[in-house]
Amino acid sequence: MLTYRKAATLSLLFPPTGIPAMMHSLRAARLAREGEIESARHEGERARDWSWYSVGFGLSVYIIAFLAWLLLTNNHAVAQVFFGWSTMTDGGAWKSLLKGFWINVQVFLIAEVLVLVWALVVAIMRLLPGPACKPVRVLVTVYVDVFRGIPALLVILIVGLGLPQADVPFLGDFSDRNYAILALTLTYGAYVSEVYRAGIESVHWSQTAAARSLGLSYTQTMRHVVVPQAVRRVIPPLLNDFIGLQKDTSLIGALGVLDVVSRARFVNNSKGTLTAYSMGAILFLLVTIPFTRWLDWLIRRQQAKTLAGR
Amino acid sequence: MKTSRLIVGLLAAGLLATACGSDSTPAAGTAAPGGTTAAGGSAAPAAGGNDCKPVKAGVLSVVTSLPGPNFWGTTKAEVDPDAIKSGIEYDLANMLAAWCGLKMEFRNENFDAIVAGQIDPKSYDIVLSQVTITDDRAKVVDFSVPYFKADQGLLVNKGTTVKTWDDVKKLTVGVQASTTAEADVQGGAPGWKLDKVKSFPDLASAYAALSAKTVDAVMIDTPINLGQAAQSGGKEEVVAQFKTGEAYGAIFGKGNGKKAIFDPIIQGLVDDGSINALIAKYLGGDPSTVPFVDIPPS
Amino acid sequence: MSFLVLRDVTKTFGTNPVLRGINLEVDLHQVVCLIGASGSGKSTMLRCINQLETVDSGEIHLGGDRVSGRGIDVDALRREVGIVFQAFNLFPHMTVLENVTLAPVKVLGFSKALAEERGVALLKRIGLDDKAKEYPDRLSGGQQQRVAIVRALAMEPRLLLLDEITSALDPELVGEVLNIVRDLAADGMTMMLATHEMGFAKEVSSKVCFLHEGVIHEEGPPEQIFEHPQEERTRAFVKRIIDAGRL
Repeated sequence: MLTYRKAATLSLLFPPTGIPAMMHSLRAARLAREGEIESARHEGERARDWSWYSVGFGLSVYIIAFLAWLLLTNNHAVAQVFFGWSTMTDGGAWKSLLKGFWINVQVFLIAEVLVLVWALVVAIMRLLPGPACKPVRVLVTVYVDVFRGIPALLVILIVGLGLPQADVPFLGDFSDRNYAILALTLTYGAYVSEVYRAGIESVHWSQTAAARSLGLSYTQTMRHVVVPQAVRRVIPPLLNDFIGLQKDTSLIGALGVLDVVSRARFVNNSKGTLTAYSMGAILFLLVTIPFTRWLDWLIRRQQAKTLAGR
Repeated sequence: MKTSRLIVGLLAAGLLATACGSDSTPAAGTAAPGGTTAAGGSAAPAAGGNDCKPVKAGVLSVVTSLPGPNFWGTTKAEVDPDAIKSGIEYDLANMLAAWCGLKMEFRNENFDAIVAGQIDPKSYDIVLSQVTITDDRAKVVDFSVPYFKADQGLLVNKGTTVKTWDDVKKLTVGVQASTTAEADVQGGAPGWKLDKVKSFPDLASAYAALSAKTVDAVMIDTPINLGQAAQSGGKEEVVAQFKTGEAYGAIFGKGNGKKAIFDPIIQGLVDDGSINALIAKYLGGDPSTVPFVDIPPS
Repeated sequence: MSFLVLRDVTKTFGTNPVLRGINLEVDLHQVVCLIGASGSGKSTMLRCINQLETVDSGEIHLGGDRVSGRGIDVDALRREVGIVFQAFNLFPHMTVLENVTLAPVKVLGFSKALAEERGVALLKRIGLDDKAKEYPDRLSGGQQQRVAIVRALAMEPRLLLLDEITSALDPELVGEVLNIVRDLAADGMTMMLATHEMGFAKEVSSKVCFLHEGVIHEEGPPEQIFEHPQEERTRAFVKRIIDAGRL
């Protein structure tokens, strides 16, 4: 243990940091034999640190090497198909993709806000107390089960093709983009409502007891005491669901709308490649990654302000 | 509270987006040479204008399912669907629009939805999307007279030998989902059933699989495969085709009378060789040079 | 009729009969202490009074009105009866002042300015007005409990229930909390305390009730209960307390 012998041996798999690790390990062993425990421990810790460097740098280098090999092998086959230079430098292709991506952006901006609100409504309905509210709870449970169980693609098709066909008043006249928003709100609303529900139920009952004891009604208690605490807790899982939503906006292509994925497919067909898909992926990453980091920052800020009695 | 202000901000951004963005903007086509566009709608036909009863005044509303290389946009040319200016069906659409005395506008729809009759007939006049005429599809939509013979062709990497149906059976064949090729090789036609089949959501993926050699062949209408072969720089060839008697037809809403209006003009364009000219112009290969392979009845 | 009356109140949790017939009368301005072993039903009794728990049988009357059973405007009841819990239960996402003003604004309809003015005055009384804009997690246990008391007082209840409010506190913080209760008693607040602080109970209460096995085994003035208990069980309990050095 003192010498981190096993770790040092393993880290020889990446010699640049493995060799120092091994050297420190051997030195630690020697010092231990000579009875210099303090120095031996010191060397042992250096060995451990170098072993960790091996893990970090070694993995990175090997992964990059693997990816490079993947791209270049077989006469650049993968690189050409997925990262074809002529397509990636085609300004017209990027312009077309951006036109499509703007549609995805609209859809997820609006859908995200609607989901935040709708899912909370659903969660609260699911938690209404008392026997008189049982039919409501059952209805909502059915909604959640169904919409979590069906693929989002099916929901978009049924909503986007079915509603206009049935000539439903008002709902039958949406644009394709609004159908996509509706379908995604219904689908993701079901998932996110479960997240809210878990958050609400995780707020200790003593908070409700204290609030009710002050004379606050059920609604006031939920609104001022329970839901604010619940929402703060569930921001991380909500974030995960939203990234899924951002990507699922591409399902709007099923309604014939030329979003970024559909346009990428068009570019690919024109150029005989699959590179436009990579380009589309880059556009998505340009949104999802900053979004994730921003929300991480939001969470840190919230937690700094109010540690919930931990 | 910062968060609620953020949400309001997002909502505002979204609503602003509502105001600006518009989806599925129909792309305007140019009138084919020699035609004039009618100013008004369906009433008095102007020069070249026959009464086509368009759903939108002054416009021939065309639906297609993109991508449709060589039919809508030529490969290596347009990368933006809004900028399509060529292609067999694009030109055909313009010819029909000119005959009607209308402007041509086209939009994109999902192929599955088209052949399932799910596109609202009140929203389009005609569909031109390399759709093969089948009895099942005819139950939900009206087809025009055939304008394009489409026997199934087999695209392979150069060097693959295919002389008999048994040779085909040894190959892993890629098909595009929802096409008649897919239906055929899954046993839709007698004797056609293949065991090693891979179905792809779009044609580009199937072709990519062929280059990557994860399939040995791609089966789809001969002219489409010929277009791909021409693009492959000699690496791929259409080595065989199989008689199916299939053909493309334009689609109209079931029973809405458009078939009677357009059939004569479409037949006329077939008869006077206009369509063959388009095929020669865009596909560069003559389907009749590809050897036929017989499929033994099972 | 006394201000608070409990008549034959029973309450069972599952198979466990916690209250087996409580009979108690409390007059205005009285301070009643409930003592007894853990599980004897002290907390349950308090929670039944403001309907955090519902009684299985029996009745509770407050100011002449029935407040137990069905058909009661529970929110109205809770405006009259304040309760402070062992675990403080402050709202962690609100500042101290917001904790104190939330109910007066939302329930009593005070304007925010008025509620804050009164809230600050109350906080001043307990010496915590400088913490008004802090969040609860920055306060010590004793400070949080004092805020909890003030939060209940902000509603101007006619009856204040205190459920073992010092049991979760470090010993050196107990005193500051008890000081407030002492002041409230001197001001004439009608209170009912469940407590283990026997010395305090002896000092401040008008009446002490010893709960044993779900009933009030003995009740009387503090001198009686602590110095000459009449019942055997009471004697045994008090002796244990004294032996433990807590009296």
